[in-house]
Amino acid sequence: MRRLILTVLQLALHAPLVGLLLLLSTTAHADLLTDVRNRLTDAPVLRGEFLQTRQLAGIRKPLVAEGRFLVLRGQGVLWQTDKPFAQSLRVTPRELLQKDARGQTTRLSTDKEPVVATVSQVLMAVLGGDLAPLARLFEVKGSLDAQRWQLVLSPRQAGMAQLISEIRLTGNTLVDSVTLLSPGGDQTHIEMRRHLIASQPSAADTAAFE
Amino acid sequence: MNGMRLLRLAASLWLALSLLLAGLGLLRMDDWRSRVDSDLFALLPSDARDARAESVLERLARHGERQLVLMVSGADAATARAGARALRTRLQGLGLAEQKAELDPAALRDWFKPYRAALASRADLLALQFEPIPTWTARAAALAFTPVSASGLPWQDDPYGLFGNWLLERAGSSPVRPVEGLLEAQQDGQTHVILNYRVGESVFSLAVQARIDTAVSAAIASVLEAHPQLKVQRAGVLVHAAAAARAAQAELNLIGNGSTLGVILLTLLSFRGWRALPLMLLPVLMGSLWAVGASFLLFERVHLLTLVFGASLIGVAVDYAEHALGSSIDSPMPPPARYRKLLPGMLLALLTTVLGYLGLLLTPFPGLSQMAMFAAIGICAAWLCVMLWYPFIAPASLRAGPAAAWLLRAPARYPKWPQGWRGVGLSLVAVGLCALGIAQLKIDDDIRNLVSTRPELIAEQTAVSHILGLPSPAQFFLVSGPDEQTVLAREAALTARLRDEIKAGSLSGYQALSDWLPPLAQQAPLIEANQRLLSGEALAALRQTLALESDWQAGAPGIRTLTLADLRTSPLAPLLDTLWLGRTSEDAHNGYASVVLLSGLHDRATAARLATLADGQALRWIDKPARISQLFGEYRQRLLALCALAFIAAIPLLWWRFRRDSLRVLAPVLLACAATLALMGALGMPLQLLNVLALLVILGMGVDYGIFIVDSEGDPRSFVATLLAASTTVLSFGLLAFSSTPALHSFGFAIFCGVALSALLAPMFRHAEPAR
Repeated sequence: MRRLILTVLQLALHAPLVGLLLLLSTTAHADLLTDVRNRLTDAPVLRGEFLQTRQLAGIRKPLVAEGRFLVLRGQGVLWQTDKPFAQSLRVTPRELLQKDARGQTTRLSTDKEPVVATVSQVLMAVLGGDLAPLARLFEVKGSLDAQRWQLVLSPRQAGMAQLISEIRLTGNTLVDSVTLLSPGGDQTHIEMRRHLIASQPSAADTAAFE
Repeated sequence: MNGMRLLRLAASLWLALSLLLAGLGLLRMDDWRSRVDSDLFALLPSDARDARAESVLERLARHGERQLVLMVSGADAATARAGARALRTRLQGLGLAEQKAELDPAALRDWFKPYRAALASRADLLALQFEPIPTWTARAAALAFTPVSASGLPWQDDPYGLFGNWLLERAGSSPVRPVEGLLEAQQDGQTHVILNYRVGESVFSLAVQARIDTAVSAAIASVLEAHPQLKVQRAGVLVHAAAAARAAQAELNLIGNGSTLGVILLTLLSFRGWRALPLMLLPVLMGSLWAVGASFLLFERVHLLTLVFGASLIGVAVDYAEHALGSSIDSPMPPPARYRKLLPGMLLALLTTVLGYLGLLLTPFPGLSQMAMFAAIGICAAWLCVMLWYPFIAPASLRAGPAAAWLLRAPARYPKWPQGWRGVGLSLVAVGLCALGIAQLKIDDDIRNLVSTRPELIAEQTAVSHILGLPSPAQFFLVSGPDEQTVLAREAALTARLRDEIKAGSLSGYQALSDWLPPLAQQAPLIEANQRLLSGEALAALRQTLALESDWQAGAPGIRTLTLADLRTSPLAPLLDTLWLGRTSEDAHNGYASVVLLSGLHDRATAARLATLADGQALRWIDKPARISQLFGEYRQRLLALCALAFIAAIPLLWWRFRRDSLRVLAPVLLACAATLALMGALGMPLQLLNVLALLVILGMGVDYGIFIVDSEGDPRSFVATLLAASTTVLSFGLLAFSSTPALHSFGFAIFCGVALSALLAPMFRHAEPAR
């Protein structure tokens, strides 16, 4: 009987401790994004190559594209496809500018449509590796060890979920891969490699954003 | 003695009726109180010639008046949301129903998806006419490689992005988006969280207004205390109505208490002892009782302004009591004989005053005719009280108080209008000065200058409207045609012009059904174009460019055209109710109609330009403020003519009793009216309908003073009575001139000047004093 009372007492004493541990573990979870951001190299200019695979609903064979990307910190992301044909997507805080193979441009400005603004924020964050704005828009889960991290982002808002159902990111000091799942079933997987970091943008880099 | 018996019978009958009415009033008190209205719209005339526009206006007004929008703004989105949630919690239990977003993008996309072949943005419509297939193939290929689609649909369902672009164009019409169960708009680095409510009960019931407005203010204050970095702004008729009602009530109290106090003071100064006091208040009481009682019996709703305005008009009722009591100062005449002698003059005075007020019935303004009835009934009741009851209850004679004693000695010293050529000269100078002032008089019929508005409330309303794009409820286009399709096509032609205005910055937006429901004439070729792009040559090019399987097909968009009946089942049904009027008349040419609403219309130059777009038949521009201003102008002219007519009509009436002395009655009031106008001209106060109404009232009262003075044949008692009567009137209207409502202010000012001048001038035209 004394034994039983003691156990109950012990349990009662430990309960707050267990709660505290639980609390700590969730705090650690919320800080995951911060940890990943601390790990990432913060470069003014980042360039590299990408391999993009899109698996579209209703199409058996994936669409594969190769190209180069350029990230100017604070200014935007230029996504330039070389194969199968030359086209580009430029994302800045002000607009989304798409140039197709025939040189025809489609411009979506962010001040007219809040969705465009959000999408451009997400693309700049994901493609450019500046993860700060994501915490507001997405629920962040994932893991982090000494070598690698991986994040799974699920949209918090209905407006975002209408366009993106999930984003997966992996990397170490740089983002290595991005997977975007859209609610309609289209999937995009992007591998980024041969990163080059510079402290100053070249004249051509700057010109690309004018 | 037969006359005395008749008088007694009439007095008893009047007493019985009055007691009956008082009893009824006590029984129905709560019912009457609930029928007091403060809706400014109720005061405005409705245009019988234009039932369709009026019904739209009414519907928009009814919709708008129940809307209460609270906007919580802050640089930090999370704080703004927290503030909005706290506000929402505090507002529970007030009978406010929160409105959800009309445009939830996901719901709209899913609903419109089956119709997407019939929909395209304006830019794409143009491109579909001119761009060759390779252009479209390149565009589809680019989209196939873009990680995110604008519509959220899989690429195969919208390969050319036409539906996505249409959705973006539609979404651009409103900046408000649902976020985490709230509605939000982003602008200038601020997050604006919107709480959109519908007020359950009638907003114009004073009790509801006071309750909701107070609770909302308290809730806002507590939220701001917790989050001082936030800003909370309000928009809605309720907010303005509550402020206006509060101001009106405060003024009602001020004018009521002020004039009552003034009457008491003047009475005590004029008559020795206290006995005159209850006698003086009795007609006011009776006048108010009958005016209020009859108004609630005659009208379904009684406007607050009727009570404010009418209360001061009844102040005139004291005049009769003062005249009757004034004539009894130190009088040796037995009361019945005295009242018989007073009767013709009093009757004439009542007739001229009541006729003047009833002239207001000729205006199309429901509010004014209600006030006219209110005042006319009140004045008649007060007059009956004096003439029927005073012979029995008033003391045979009263003794002069200090002021009256002084005034009784004054007539000898009071200036007289000179006789002969000096009189002519003085008259010429007076007429010249008046003409000079009147020449300065400006005319301004714009009713927006008459409404009292609190600038900070207007600023909040403008800010909220600007961010939400709330449409104007009183300025819009009415589009009509022989059938639905023609109406939609005419709408589309109009909105093209409106987009030019938006580009130029003079409008911020519009709401038109044709944006959501393109005319069939536009849908049919679009479906064809879509089919062309998804088959044959275009399909082959797409397969080849993207190396797709040879049997690949795009998700079939179908060939469904979108109709009005379809739209009724969509999330847009509430918008449809607002914008689509349907079959409104049997007219074969313009039987169907819809409304195009505008937002961000602020300057009158744009309104004037928009008016020129209308042709008056199929496309009509409705501008209620401008229309009412125009009506004000028309009725200003009509009432001015009525004034002149009333003046001329008074001549034979007066001639019947006064013969050549009629000039002595009319000259002072004519001069007072002219001088009032001149003074307004000199002070830069514009002439408008309400000043002219004031002239009508001045005429009614000024003639009374003339009658009393001339009728008394130089009796100084009537001199005292006239000045006394004028002082109480001036006191009550003088207080009206302090009203914050510009309409009441200018009315009060004109009456103040006109009545004071009439009373001061009237004794100058008296007969020579009888030898004492």
